[in-house]
Amino acid sequence: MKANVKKRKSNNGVFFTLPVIVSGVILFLILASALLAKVIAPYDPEATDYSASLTRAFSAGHLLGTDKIGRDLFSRLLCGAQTSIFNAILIVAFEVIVGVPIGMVCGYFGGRLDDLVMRVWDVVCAIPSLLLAFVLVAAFGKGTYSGVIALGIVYTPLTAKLARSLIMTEKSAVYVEACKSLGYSHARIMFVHILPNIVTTMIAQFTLDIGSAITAMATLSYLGLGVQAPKADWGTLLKDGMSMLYLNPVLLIAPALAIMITAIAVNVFSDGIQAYIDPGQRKMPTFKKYRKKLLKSETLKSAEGAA
Amino acid sequence: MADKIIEVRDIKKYFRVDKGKLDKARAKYLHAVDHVSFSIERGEIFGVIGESGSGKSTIGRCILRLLEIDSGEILYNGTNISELSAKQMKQYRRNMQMIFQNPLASFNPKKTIGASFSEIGKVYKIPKAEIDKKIHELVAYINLTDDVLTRLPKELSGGQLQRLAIARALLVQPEFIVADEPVSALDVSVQAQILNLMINLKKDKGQTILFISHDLTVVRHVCDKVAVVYLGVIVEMGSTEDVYKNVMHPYTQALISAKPKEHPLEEKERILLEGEVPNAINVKEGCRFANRCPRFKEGLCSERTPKLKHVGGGHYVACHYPIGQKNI
Amino acid sequence: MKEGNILEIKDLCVNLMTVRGIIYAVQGVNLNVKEGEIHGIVGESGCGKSVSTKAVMKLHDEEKTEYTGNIDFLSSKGEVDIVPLNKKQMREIKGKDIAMIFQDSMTALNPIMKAGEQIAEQLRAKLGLSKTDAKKRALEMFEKVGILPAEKRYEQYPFEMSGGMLQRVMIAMALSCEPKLLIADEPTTALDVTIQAQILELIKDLQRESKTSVIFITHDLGVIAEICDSVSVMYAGRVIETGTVVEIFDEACHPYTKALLESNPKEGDQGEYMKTISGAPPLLYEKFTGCPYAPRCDYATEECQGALPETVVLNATHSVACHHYKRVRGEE
Repeated sequence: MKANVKKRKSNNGVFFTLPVIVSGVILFLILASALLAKVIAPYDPEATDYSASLTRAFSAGHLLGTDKIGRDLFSRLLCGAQTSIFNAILIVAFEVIVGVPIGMVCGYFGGRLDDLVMRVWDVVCAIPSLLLAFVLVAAFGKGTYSGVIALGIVYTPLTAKLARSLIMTEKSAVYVEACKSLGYSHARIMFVHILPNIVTTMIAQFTLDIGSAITAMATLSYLGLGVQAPKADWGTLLKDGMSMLYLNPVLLIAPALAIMITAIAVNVFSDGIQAYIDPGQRKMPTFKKYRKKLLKSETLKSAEGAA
Repeated sequence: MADKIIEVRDIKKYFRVDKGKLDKARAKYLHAVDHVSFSIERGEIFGVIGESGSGKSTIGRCILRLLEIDSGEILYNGTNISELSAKQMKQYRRNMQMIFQNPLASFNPKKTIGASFSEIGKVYKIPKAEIDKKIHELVAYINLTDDVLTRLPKELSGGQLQRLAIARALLVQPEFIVADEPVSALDVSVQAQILNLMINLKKDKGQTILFISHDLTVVRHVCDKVAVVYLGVIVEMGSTEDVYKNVMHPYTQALISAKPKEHPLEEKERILLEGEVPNAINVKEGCRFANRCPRFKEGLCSERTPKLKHVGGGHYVACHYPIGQKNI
Repeated sequence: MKEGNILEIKDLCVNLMTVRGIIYAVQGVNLNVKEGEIHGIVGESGCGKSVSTKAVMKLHDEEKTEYTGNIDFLSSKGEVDIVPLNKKQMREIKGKDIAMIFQDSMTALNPIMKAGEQIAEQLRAKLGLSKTDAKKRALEMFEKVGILPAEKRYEQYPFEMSGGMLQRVMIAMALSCEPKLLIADEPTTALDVTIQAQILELIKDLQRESKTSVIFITHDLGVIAEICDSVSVMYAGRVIETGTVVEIFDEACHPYTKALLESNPKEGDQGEYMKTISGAPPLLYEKFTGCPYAPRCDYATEECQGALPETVVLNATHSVACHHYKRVRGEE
């Protein structure tokens, strides 16, 4: 007997809706320019040129103008993008590498260990996250990497809690019980069977986290706790721009816009991923639209056939 | 003497229902399985019938040690497996397999059927050529073709998946299978396919199966012996013929009479039980069926818990006033 | 509409928009329900039995559903076709003239409202009763469906009740406005046998008393034998055979009905192989041009692949949609 179930691709409510495409393109451009910052940047971002200090935007040679000591803002923005995004990825990597395994083990085995770890997390979560980051940076000393680690520690409990709650619902699934009755080891069940089933949900969360990590790291740098001069990220640019607000507002507006656009694009894109993972959230065409589309493709086909 | 493959002696499984409360003396326990004993002989299909909340699934899971029992013994071929460590248990695991009610949920949704199957070979270190051959044979045995192996669970129908779940359980050649409501999630026409497969397993391979179900007709159709459970205790047990034809416990009788008619013109005397199935939290001494029993008598029934007694011919009943017998 | 009928469904098609494409869930259903009868609809999961009856209540998401055909219903205000009605007009009929009970009574009730108040609320909204009258009537309904003691149960929340009790609450709620038609969608499937027997008995008694017409949807032929006067058998979005319950059980003319009856285990055939229907029901992503049952059918010929069988009327109550019904009956 042949299996009479056809393989069926979802042809409806596709992943590439307009917001996803727009935000995807924006993210792609930001990422590409960050990666190629050194190539695209017209000037060395750290080279000073006192003769051209505080050039207006859109003036000859300097697309976005220059700052107080004559560094090209456009070049600094590009290199700042690189630092900001790279740091954000580091922060998320930290929370994934530390948080996910802890959360999974706690959720899977439960019991005393789970209680203990979760209470510690609760204490960590009870302290406002930025305040905690300040305290940690104060302990580690100012600098890019202490900023990254501090924020990584701040985000870890949330990731661990997510992984824990996902694994707790998943571990009561029948297929997990089936694995147990087949005599599989706990490690195999956890990492070979459960992990692939929860990873998609977590990915949506991680993209969202990259967005907030960019803003959080910018905040630290803005306050002078993260990235240190002369290296630039969007936070330090914002700080520098703040003092020049009346002389050259572009210095403030440009990095602020960069942070905002990136954060919004990441959020929208992550929503798109979530909708793709969970078909219940997908937008489906109405019958009218669907019929129109169908009619169009059919007339196309018949036209081809006639030809 | 008959060859007992599984012997369950006086097992007990209580669940704490008010978890987290500190007052242990007044803790509430759900008596899911309460002093249950029975044995399964090699090559027979042993049925366990009960309504929801009767503890029938818990019994199956306790035997496979997917749940730990509170007291009692589970003997597998004479060895007490209830106290083995997880490591020692591993060598017994492959001899006992389980089939679940919901076939779609019992496969990992992200893995193709073939991947799920060959993983078993990896875990038990069976050479690839051998396991592939076995998979091929089994898929043919359950009347499917090898192309199902490349599919994801969601692309197959319930009937196909349940047959594959059975094949997966058979892959390690277990001596004993627990089938927990294997047909209740399936449509009638598909149900028959699975039941035929079960009968085949018994006839061709001498497979021993513990068949858990709430459906009287299905149990009657495939089982050699049957135990009727009510609120965690066995109320009647014996060969299927005996239990159905020579009903002794009023609960069994009510259960059989509650079964819908087979034909619209069939005249049927119906004993409608009053009330609902109560829950088994902190049960007191006395018969658990007393509050719904049509044969209830003041005194004995509410004061003493009836013991499961042998009434001859392998037929057991736990009732103070069993049907068809004046007094025991 | 024919005299004595309360509901006539003619050539009903229901198309549902899903993530995986359009599902042609109901493909031309014809169904008549007489006044004061219990009409069973039996079929396997995915045969369209629920979808077609939900269409009678217009319970599908309007944006994602397309209806064609007619659903003529004899409401308290006269004959109406339900298909073109808008939401507001539907509200007049829903609950008052047609009521429904579901398989999953736990989710069908509001979890944070007392069971009794939910009935009283509905009575106030639909019939415009005062607060005290509504409560009085709700208590009467509780007693009628055997929720005792009514006063105490009135104050309970759904989570404090068992599955059987909740189903009684659902029935009380459905019947409180004295509907002309009650749709019961697998109301006993989730219940234990002993509770199922109670609920079936209750529905039978209440129906006899109130003369409400009932559409009873189930996959269980035993339940059909127990409660129904007439039966429609559905397969792949179509009604393939209709008849009185005795006609269906004794003189089944469609190979699918026959196979369904035979694949039910019966007394006296213990340990023997049962007749099975090979394969699985088709998915409804396409409209059928041939008989949808043909790939699984023992009687199928080339004719079956090519043409959709017309419904043949055998007598006043019995009709079948099969090219070879005569052969199935053994007349040829």
